[in-house]
Amino acid sequence: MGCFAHPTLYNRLVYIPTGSINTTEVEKAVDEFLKTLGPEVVRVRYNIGEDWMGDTVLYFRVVLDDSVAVDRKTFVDTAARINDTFFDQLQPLENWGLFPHVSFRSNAEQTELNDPKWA
Amino acid sequence: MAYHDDLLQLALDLTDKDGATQAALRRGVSTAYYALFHLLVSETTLNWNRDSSRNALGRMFDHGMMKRVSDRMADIKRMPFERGDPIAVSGLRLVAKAFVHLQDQRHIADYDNGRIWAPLDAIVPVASAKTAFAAWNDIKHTDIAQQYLVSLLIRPRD
Repeated sequence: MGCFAHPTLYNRLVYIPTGSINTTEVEKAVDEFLKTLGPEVVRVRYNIGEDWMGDTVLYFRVVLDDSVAVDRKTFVDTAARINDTFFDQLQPLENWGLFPHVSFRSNAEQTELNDPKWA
Repeated sequence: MAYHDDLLQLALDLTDKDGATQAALRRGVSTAYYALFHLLVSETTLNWNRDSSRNALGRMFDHGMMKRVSDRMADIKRMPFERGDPIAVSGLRLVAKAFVHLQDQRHIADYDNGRIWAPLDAIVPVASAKTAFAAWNDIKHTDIAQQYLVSLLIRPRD
């Protein structure tokens, strides 16, 4: 016999459709938020898209300054800190039901790849 | 080591080296997702007392269901946890957010040939899996973490 002894959480799981997204409102808030990011952020590109399940999400592509890419730990720590601000400051989940998927690369990497989605 | 630990180490090995190929970076990101997936499956099935039934139980997990539950768990408005231990809540949200992001990145890594991965681009999600493992280890015995495991498996009634 299993011992699943804490039924309260799953009993509260009722899925609520996200509904229509006011893209103008989202873009305005995102643009304001991006202005608050620190100098280690070279640029951010983003789009509202769909994930593999068809749920509407936010995709952010963040290019970081090469000064934080001197070693992998510094880059990872910086990326994690900035990623947290997308959740905590922008609060896209709470405001619009949009999960923020944030990807990071260094400026040197982007220069080498010349990827238009990150330019 | 447990299977999920081996997967995490494999993901790190694939991505954390100079000159990693696109195949290695993409397999690394995908493997990082499966490491976290199998960690959560393993932790859930360990609660099942009969060892011989655990593998069958583990096959019941649904990636979409787990994503929706984790997405909700990361949302402060829908799941405020006002009376929960703040450290446990913070750790659980970290795990849930990592799960949702890694699952998305896994799909891109596995299927989107138009996405070119830079090395650091791949290392960040793999590192997030490692961080999620550590966070889970800190909170796994808390009620809120155990409730999360149950919610990953059991579909709510309509």
